[in-house]
Amino acid sequence: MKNIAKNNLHIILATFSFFVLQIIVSPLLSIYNIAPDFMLILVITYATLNDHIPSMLYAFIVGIFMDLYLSTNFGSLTLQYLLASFIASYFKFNSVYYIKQFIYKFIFVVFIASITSSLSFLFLNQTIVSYLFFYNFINLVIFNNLYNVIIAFIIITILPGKLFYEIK
Amino acid sequence: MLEKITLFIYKYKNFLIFALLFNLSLVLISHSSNEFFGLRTYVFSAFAYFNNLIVSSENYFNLISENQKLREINAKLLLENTRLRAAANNSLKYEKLLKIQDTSNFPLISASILTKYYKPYSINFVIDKGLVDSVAVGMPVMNEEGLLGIVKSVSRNHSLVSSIFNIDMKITIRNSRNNLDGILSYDGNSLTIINATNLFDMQYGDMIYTSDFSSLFPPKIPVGYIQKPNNDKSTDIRVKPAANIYETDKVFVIKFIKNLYLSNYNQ
Repeated sequence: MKNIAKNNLHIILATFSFFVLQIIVSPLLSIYNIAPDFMLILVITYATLNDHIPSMLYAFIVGIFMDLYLSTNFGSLTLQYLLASFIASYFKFNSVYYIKQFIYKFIFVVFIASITSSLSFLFLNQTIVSYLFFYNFINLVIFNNLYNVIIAFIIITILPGKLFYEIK
Repeated sequence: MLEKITLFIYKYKNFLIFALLFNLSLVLISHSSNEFFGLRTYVFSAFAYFNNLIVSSENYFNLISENQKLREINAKLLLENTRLRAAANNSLKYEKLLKIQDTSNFPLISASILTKYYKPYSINFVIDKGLVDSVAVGMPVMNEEGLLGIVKSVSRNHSLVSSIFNIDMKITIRNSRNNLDGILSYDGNSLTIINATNLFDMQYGDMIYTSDFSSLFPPKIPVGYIQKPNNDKSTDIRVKPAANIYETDKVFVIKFIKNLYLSNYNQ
């Protein structure tokens, strides 16, 4: 247990930092009900730096944790993060340094993965039969994820290149 | 045969694990109403303490502007109170005759919002009052402008409030101008009175408050104002919320549980 914690200390620290950002900074950055999802950005970034199975397990654990924290429909965030992680883990980067080098590719991955996760939630909801589906799609899926992409861009720009998430 | 199975599992292990986790997520969604042995309450309560530290320090620096704002509200309320007192005298005798429940008689518990959580189809928030302050599941939450939500889960010192901006919530409302009742819900974009036919006489600016028929809220709590009445093309009426949830940080819990069944069920 001690070894697992020691080996994954940087992941635990990153998760805790992003969680703090999610609960404190995210509400401050909200524009009406569109707020950046820092945990989703972390899950996608982790997935692009790791293999499929650890990425999916990490997304599942983070999803459950976030669902326990405040979600209305338990399990919905778990499903969203899992799907985002599954899509994102098909795009591989060796380290944050490479993400910085190919930032536009990474931004594309964030957009695609977060769109998939948002769509899953939209499909699970009753609004699928509503005439508001298209309206909600534009406002809540596209705009929300564009916001996530902007935040992801800022975070990656700020992060030091080689310090974190290096694959051994 | 066993070798083939092993090879298959090895080859498609990513998909198999994805399918397993995907199905587990669906199982969790299907049991979303469970409290999971109180684990949810414990988790949000634990982080509420952490949030409390940050919010209290932030509040300290905002005290001057907060006081200024409160003085303004106080002055406005004083003027409004004078005007309403005269009207209340007239209506009191009729209320006694009809035995109408007066919302203003319920005790209020003052609370601060520690954190808000925005998702496309729901807004929830955590307040710094819990069981020790006599907050219970099912109690309505409002601010000086109007209704904000209902207490969904309570721990010792904190409570999780499900706001009116939640697709699962349906509120029975009444138009103050003509006493017409309707069902208000959140569609992910705005508050809407659903399935309103042309018989619904709702006009722009009409005030909407909670109805006597509401199974969740006490009557006469302001909810919002009609923003877009129904027409030939649409049977939905859009409502502008009275309380601005995005800017609110101080709230009141009304010490009243309308639906005891719901309360017991949730606990």
